[in-house]
Amino acid sequence: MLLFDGDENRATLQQQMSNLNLELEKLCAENYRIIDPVSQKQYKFHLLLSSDMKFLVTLLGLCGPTDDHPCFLCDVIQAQLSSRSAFENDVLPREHVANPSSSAARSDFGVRAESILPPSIIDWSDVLGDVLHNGLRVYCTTWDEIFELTGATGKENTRAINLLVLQNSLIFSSRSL
Amino acid sequence: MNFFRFSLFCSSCFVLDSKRAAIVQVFKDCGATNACFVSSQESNGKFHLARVNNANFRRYLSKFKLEHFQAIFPGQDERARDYFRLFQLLKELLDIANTWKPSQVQIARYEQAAEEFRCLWVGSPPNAQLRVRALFGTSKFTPYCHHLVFHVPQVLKKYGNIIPFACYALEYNNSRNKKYYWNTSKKDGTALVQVMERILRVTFNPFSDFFPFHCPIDSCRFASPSGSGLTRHVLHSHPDSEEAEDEEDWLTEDEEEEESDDDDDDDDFDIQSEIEDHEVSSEQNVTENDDDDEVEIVNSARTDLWQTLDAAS
Repeated sequence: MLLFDGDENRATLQQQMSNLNLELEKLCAENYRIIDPVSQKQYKFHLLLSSDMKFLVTLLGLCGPTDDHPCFLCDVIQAQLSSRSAFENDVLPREHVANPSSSAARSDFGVRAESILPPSIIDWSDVLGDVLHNGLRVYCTTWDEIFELTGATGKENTRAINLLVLQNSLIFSSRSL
Repeated sequence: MNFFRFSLFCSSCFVLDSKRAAIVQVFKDCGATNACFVSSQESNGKFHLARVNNANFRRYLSKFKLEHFQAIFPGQDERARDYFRLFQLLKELLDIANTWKPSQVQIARYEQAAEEFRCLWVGSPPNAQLRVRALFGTSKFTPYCHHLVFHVPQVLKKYGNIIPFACYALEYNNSRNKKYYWNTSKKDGTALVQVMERILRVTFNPFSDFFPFHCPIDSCRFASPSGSGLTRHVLHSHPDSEEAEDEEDWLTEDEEEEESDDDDDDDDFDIQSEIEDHEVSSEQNVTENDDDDEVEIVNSARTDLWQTLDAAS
């Protein structure tokens, strides 16, 4: 477990991940095998990286969801983000596209900086998305779009709406009293 | 009660337009108990949804009705039906994605539902047999939607399961660590050390193995070291017992108190129920198989643990 006091930005992550990187490199040098000193059993590891999009983008040096290549798993461009035919025919996973040795290849596929994790440890095929944040953000986006369409955006009546919703909790608390 | 009347008075001072009132009614019917709507400076003063946690949003998805959307879009029944269908599909997608080891049939159903979700969102192509009007358009199709529609089925086919890679446990730890952090003393500058010490005290407490919480049914061997999952175990395994009826009464009161006491401003993911479900399912397997081998395995594991503790000391 890694606990640190600070924001989730690139400089802080670089500083705090340095010790963890040393341990991961040691594990990589031992071919991802650890022997339990008590039971003498050998355990083999396969490292996978899964997190929300913001953390992955910061960690892997990608440019983010507003870039031309917004997905961290494939090289789909922004205009074809919703196209199934493009996804099945034209789009390649990042493991086939970017082993970004040259800076030109790196800038072509939305990799704007060096990965904080050493490239020998995490392969692009071992990066996975997180279904929890995924569902949350899709749900919020859908409601925000409905607010936009119905013209319900604007801050003038927010206090009244929140008070209306808060009545439910006040009913609960009055019952417990 | 005076505070309750005061809030009613304050809310009656404002006049809501019909669409906003319809949106608020959706969340009131779903049982929302906290301030759900925010107009913050980050969003340029726009009115948007806030304070969504995992337990709440999946609970709301199952409670949406067609009448809610007909009230939001009055006189547009087809449009209301499309929005209702969109939320139904989202619920179906997330239910399958949160199933422990879904079958091939479920994965195939996920792909069908994802395709329908995409067609509803961006509209069907012009050469399609069944034309669907776009609800939001391609410009609103975010990378998160792309991942949910295209990449989650790939992961399900490759690994057979996506729950281990979801961040349920991590977010539960995060909320717990935040709670511990605000209970520490900030004088010495050792707040993080105090957090780590408290985590070690709670999670590696050896005495919890000696004094576990046993199931009240005498013939059952279920025992939980921390007491978590005991009520669910009684409700699921012994639904006809007297203890289950008592537990049901307690459970409803506890849920109401939890909902009314929730005051955090950040996203707070309720993973405890998910963890308890898995604990209960695993423990049920143990109780159903009445072999002595598993008891021996547990005992040998405990002796190994004590040997390691002795060696460490």
